[in-house]
Amino acid sequence: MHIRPLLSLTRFKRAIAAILVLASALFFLGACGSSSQAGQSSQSKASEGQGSFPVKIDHVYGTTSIPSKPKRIATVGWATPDNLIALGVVPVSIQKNSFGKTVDGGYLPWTKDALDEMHVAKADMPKLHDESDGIDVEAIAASKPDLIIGLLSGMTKKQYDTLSKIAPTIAYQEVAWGDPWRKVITSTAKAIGEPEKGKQLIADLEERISKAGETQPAIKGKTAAVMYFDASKLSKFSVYTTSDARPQFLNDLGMETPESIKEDSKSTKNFYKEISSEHADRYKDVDIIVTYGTPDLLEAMRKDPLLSKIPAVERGSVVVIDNDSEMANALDPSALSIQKTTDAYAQLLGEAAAKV
Amino acid sequence: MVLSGLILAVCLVMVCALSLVFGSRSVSPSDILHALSASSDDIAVSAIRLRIPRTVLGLLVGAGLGVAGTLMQGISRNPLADPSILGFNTGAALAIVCSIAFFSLSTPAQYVWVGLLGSATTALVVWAIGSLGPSGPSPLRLTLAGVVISSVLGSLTSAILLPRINVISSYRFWQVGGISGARFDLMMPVLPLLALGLILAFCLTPGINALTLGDQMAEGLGMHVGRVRSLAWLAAILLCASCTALAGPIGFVGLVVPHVARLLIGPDYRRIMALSILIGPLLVVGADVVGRIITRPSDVEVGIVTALIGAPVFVILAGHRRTAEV
Repeated sequence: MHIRPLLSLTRFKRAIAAILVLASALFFLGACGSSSQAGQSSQSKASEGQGSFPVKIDHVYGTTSIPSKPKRIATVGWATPDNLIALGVVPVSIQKNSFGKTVDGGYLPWTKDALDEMHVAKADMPKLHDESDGIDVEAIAASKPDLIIGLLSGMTKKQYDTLSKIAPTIAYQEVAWGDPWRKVITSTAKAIGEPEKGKQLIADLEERISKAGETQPAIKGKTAAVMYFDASKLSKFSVYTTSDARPQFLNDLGMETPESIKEDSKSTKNFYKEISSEHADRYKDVDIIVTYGTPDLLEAMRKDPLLSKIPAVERGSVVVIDNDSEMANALDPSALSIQKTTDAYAQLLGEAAAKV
Repeated sequence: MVLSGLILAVCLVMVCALSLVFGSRSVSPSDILHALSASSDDIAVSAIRLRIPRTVLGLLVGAGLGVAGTLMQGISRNPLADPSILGFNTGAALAIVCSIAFFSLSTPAQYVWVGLLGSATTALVVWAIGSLGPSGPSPLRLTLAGVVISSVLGSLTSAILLPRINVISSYRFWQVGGISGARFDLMMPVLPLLALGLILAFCLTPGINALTLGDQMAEGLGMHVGRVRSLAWLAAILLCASCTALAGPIGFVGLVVPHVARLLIGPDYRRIMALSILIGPLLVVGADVVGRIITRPSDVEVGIVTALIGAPVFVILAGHRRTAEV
């Protein structure tokens, strides 16, 4: 849709557009002294993207218009920094991660690796802002963004209003913390004026996932669910609903969604649902359970009089993802985590599938 | 007195029965029979069996908090006194957060002792600060010391928690306050402390009655005000600390129970105390049953339900004329 007006431009207008692009690229070079982003935006493809602005993106709090190609993007929440980096853009401010395994004060391992591979100078590394106690608006403002993306976040209306005063802001589109990874990547790519790159990235990732799935034929067609158990309190647990990216990713790997989870998902818009362990036997149709946890978790579940009634628990076809591991971050997939961890994840699932 | 006591006792028995029968999972009468007799391994039977320690814990915690609230309101002559205002809960919380963050403790069995320690230490500190000055511990000084210490410890807890998401996720389970994970083996070691607190509380009620007349009047009646007050404080420590250790900070029970008792029976602390030990369990076990039913198939922790029931009850009570007669 955005390409159309570009085609109808006269040669004269095109020349002006080209000059503008070049001038802005030069300006950016001078202003920031950084070549990593500007270098990419001066490529021939970028001028096409530049022409398609303003871009409009719908989200839960309305429609946000992005007037011109964003140069300084701050992200709120999960996965978006990884997706931007996979699309060749280094964000200026990203969430500090404190769950799972992190490096250098809050980067996810693969995020840091990718930035290193891109030879991002130390001064241009994304700043980390802390979201553990609400969104640190001041830190985001200090990074002077021209776009704030929170496509995989739980951004509230109030936070959205505040952030919108700093720069055009995109909140999540349907489910807080729960929109599917393809959708998140598509919208991220659209926001930076690179929809084609987004399509390509998704195709590459899909190929990557299906290859990983093929190495583990045992998981094909098995039913699998992602849940959350805490060994210190087993009287209830959570199941992730079909609107969450974690179980969706299991589908990508060739696994089916159990009927019980489909049923649970009908009654809530939330990405998870809490269940009393008195209902453990509802999940007898689950072949494989994936859960976050501590190393002693499975043993504790098997000893529990209620949870042991889940067949998957009884036979041990449970994949316990250590809370402090890199894989704990990968369950909720981003473009970079998929590239880095899918093989290992498929192998864990394959081991569990062998017990079914 | 006898009549209302009897009615409450009957209600309590009924609520306990409900607590076994009604849960997140619907069970049949035959399941209940099986659970109480034969050794079936059915999930319904297992569910009912797990409701037994849960109900017992509700009874214990309700009795402990109800009596502790009565004691605290009596000795501080403050109608708002309860375990959280006097710093007991925040002390336990800080101790537990420290133990998770710095010593990687993670099991309920460990939390019990850490919470007990934190609660008791805080209570002693509050008592010490409240007793500063020549005239010893006065009701006002105790309350002020409790509020101040409580907010200081609360800030410390947040300061330790904020940068540690992993700790927050372990801590939030404890912090909500619930009896759903109840286990007899965890209750047993704390039981003697709870029993001691209850016995002490009942032995002290005549003295507390005198205290409510004012320190000077009580002295005039030949009472050792200081001794009664410090023993009552000790009993409150034992009760609150053991309840908080077992079930996390359950709000409003300690606050509301004495008020309800006072409305039913008048200002005599001997009677209030006697009813508190029935009303507390009634509230906690009842709230737990409600919490299990309203959000099937989920399970709302009792600490949330007591706050939901307790808050409006308290607002009504606060507007009630007789509330002032503490």
